[in-house]
Amino acid sequence: MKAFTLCLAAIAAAEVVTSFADPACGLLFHSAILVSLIALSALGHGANPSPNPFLSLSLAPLIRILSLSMPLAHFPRYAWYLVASVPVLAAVLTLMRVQNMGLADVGLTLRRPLIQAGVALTGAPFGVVEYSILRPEPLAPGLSGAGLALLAVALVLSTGFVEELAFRGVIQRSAVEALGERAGLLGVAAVFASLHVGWLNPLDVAFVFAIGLFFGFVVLKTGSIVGVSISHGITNVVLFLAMPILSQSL
Amino acid sequence: MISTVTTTVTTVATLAMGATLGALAAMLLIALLSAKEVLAADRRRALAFLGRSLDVAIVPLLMVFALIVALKIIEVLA
Repeated sequence: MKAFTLCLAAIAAAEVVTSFADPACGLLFHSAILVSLIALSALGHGANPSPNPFLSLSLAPLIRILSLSMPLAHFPRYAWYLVASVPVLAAVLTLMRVQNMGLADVGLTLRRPLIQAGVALTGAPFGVVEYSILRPEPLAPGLSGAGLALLAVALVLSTGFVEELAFRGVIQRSAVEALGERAGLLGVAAVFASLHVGWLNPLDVAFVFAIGLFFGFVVLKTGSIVGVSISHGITNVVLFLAMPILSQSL
Repeated sequence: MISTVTTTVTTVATLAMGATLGALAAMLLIALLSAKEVLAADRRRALAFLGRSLDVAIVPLLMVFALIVALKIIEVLA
């Protein structure tokens, strides 16, 4: 448990280095954590048949290494989400294969559909609140109609589904098994929030931490990531597409 | 400096910095591939698991590397 907590703190520290000091140093820091986590996963292999928490946590530094090294500047901004999500999804699927995790193990099941639908609806107010904190520029100023609808679907799939599959589906499941429910929830929410440090907005980091706790609690109690994935996706659609357009037209 | 858009999307301010980070990721990929090759020679169970676990990082890094190479080829040909 101490080693796992230390790794969580190291990831947060690496993210601070990436955002406030030097991205190259941050990438090296994340790389060192990634290699350490994979090595630690082999040390405990065989003693416990459940998914290895260190290997699952390796997704967090890997996500940042991938996003920093990806040549996103060559793509239009509205395509970044889809382009960035493909290797992350590949990492999650590879991790599931290595750890023999099935779809139900990572919450890809529709348990308690009414609760899932209710949770999905929370995405709209979350998006409005986060927009009032960050006030981002419109994601695709030239797009309209079908183009915007396609982009909204892409946002839900690439940010909502892929990020929730990684954080709540894989990492949280392992963290809760390793640390217990309370510490696992807090730890994963803290890592999730620390990956938003790059916005340089403490209020947003606190907001994302609270959202991470809420999403984590829902997944813990329902065993499904469907509702939180849709909610996360809608949050980003409202934050990056709907609210900027609405605020410009008013 | 970097700008974070969502959890999985972070970009750097300049193309030059992007190239440096791409090169660092390629070096990490080479190191992981080398480690996997060395571990494949050992039959101990924990090391075999470690070799398989490296795929979690190798597979997506290979995809990023392929994308960087493809874009560079397009840039040269254009």
